Amino acid sequence: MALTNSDKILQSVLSNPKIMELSHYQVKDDETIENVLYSEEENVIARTIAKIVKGKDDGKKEKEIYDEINNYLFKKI
Amino acid sequence: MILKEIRIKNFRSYYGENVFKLSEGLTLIIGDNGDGKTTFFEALEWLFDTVSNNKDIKNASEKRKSELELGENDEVSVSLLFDHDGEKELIKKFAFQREETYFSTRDYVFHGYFVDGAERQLRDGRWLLENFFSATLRKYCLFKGESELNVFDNDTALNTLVDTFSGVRDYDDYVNLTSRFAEKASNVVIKEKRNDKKNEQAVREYESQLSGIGRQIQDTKNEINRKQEAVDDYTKKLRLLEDNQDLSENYKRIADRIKDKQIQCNKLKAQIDIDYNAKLLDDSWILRAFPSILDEFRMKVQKLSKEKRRQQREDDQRIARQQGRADVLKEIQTSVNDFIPLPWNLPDDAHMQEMIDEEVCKVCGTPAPKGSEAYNFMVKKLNEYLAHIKQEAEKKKQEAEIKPLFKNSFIDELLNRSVQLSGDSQQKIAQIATSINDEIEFVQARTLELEREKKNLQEAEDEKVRLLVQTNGLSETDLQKVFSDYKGISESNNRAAVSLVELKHSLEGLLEQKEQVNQKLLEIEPANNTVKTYQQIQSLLERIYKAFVDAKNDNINKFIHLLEEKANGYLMCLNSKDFHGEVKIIRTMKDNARIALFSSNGTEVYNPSGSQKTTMYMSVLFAISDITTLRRNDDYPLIFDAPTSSFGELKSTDFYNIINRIDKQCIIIAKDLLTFDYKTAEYIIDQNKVNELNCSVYRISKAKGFNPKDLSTIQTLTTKIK
Repeated sequence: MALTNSDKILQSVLSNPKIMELSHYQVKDDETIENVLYSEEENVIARTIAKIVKGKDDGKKEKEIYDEINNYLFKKI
Repeated sequence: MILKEIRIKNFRSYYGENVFKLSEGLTLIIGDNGDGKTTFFEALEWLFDTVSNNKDIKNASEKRKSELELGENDEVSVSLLFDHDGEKELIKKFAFQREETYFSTRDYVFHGYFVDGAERQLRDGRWLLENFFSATLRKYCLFKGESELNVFDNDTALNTLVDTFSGVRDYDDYVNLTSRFAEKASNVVIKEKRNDKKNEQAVREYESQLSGIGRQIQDTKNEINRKQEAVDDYTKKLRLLEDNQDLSENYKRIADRIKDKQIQCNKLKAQIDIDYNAKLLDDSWILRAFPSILDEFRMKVQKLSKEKRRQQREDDQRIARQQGRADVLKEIQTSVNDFIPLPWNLPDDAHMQEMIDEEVCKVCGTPAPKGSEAYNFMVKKLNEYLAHIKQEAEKKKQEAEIKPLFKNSFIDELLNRSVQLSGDSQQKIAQIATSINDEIEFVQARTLELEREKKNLQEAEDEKVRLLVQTNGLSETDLQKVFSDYKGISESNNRAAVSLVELKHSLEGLLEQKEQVNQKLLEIEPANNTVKTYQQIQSLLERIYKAFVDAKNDNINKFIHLLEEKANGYLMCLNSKDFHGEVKIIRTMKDNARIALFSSNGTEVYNPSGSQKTTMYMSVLFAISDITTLRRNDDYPLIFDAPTSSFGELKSTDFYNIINRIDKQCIIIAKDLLTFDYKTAEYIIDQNKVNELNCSVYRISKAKGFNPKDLSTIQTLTTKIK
């Protein structure tokens, strides 16, 4: 399946050297938002970025996305 | 996507149906000024207009309108057949009808069809167009004139291009979103730390410092913006001055040419402005037909003269014959006496009287007494003498009384006149015809020359209009000015640029200070784990925000790099016989970019020529088209109206051949490949140049016999040349 614009954005941010260093996440060539969000192996940083991209992709309000990632991080960190 | 066929019916000058079958490479549509080039392009623009339901009667052919009787109607239509995952067709049309005092329009339709052999499935035209050839793509496919070729001509151009063609879009939205998230998280952390009494003092102090630094940062940013605007403004002015200095020189050259052509036209007009009435009488042009009349006159006079001479000779002969008879008689009489008598007048009457009085014959020397034979002979001789005298006098009197055959000398006079008119006079009259012919030939030659000069004048004036279009609104008066303020602006620009560098340096220092204070603020030990967690969240969100910024910049840089790489490939092809340099896309302050031409030694060519600019911009367009193909797995046609106005004739032919070799569908509407025909004083296709090309060529031209003042006589004819 062809990658969406959101998938490509996610890939490019996950491939950022400083993010990779921080998250230790290995980005796959066919990485998608769904893979990151729903894979069994949970990477908090990768999933946070995926939530931001997905939230915007789904047309959620800014506050809604912020609360979602803030709550998520608060639980996970 | 391949355009296959364009049909234009009754659209302005395109009377009736006109069909353009397009090749998959280059199709050239050649026409002179006013032949319908721009109308062709505008017909496509009308077809691609998805915003308004334009059925303006102004788009209907005036010629067709003029033919319609009251109540009669016809239609304006433009259709496009293209291949994009199968054949599809777009057709836009409306009907127009002659009413009492005006033309009404109705039945506007914009249809699309999926064509499968004879089967056609109807779709909405707008839907079909936007799905297969969207406005975003069309923006990079249709270009009217050289001035539209620069795709980086507005502040949002780079972002639009990157969003459209890089394959990844909307980075800016994510950058802004995550920036606000990081700021929000930071505010939460600071607020929590401030609530901790133990840290309150330190936090407030750092906050105060941050507030101060923040104000300084804001002031510096404002100052930077002002300076940047000043630098941009100065740079723009300088560039404008540089551009216009070149344009000004071009303008001067064109203006001089126009002046020269006007003088030449006036001179030629004066040369052909002849007062033929004056010539008729003053220069004896009225005698133009006289030589043949003179010939006839001479022939007739000669005939008359000959006849007169013949009759005169006959008459003379008759008289001579009569005279001859008398002489013969005399001779006969003489021969009977057998001696030759003395002439009648010897001896004369005086001597004869003397001999009679003296009674001696002094002829023979013997006495001749009165009554003697000799005496009587002398008396007789004297009497004969006197009788002869009398007879001669009578004869003379009679002769004088003979009527001449020709009482008057009219024929002789005519002959004399004929003789007078021949020779030099005849030569002079004959020369009138020659001089009239010479004069007429001269006038015809000057008239042709005038037509040619008028065309040249028109071309120069067109060139001036095109040049003025390129000046971004500068008036002719501005162009005529000497750009004496260049030095002043350049110095101001240098000062502003130095100041800008200092301000940026200062901003960097302030941002570093802010970072340090922030760091100190973050280093304040959180009072509890919750605050610690907030701090970690803030730190992570800050990092995520920076990652989005980096990703955005990477994406732009990758796009620019790809664009440069592909554009330079095309630039090299298009300028293979000339200096081509290297195209660079330089990012500017406000997230935009500009196209620049660099020499291989790293020097920017600040003032490229018109053709260098055109090839540079077209290379970028071809590169964009390539990237589109790469991203969308499809190719799109490029349609240019008059992109080569600044090209020389030689360069045009090479340019078209190169474009034809590029694997890309192009339609170019231009006035190249035409040559002036001195016989007809018209521009015609230069067949030799056309033969040098390997692409499809259409000639559009105005139908002959039009009235320049009457639009309803104008019709564009479409001919496939190749």
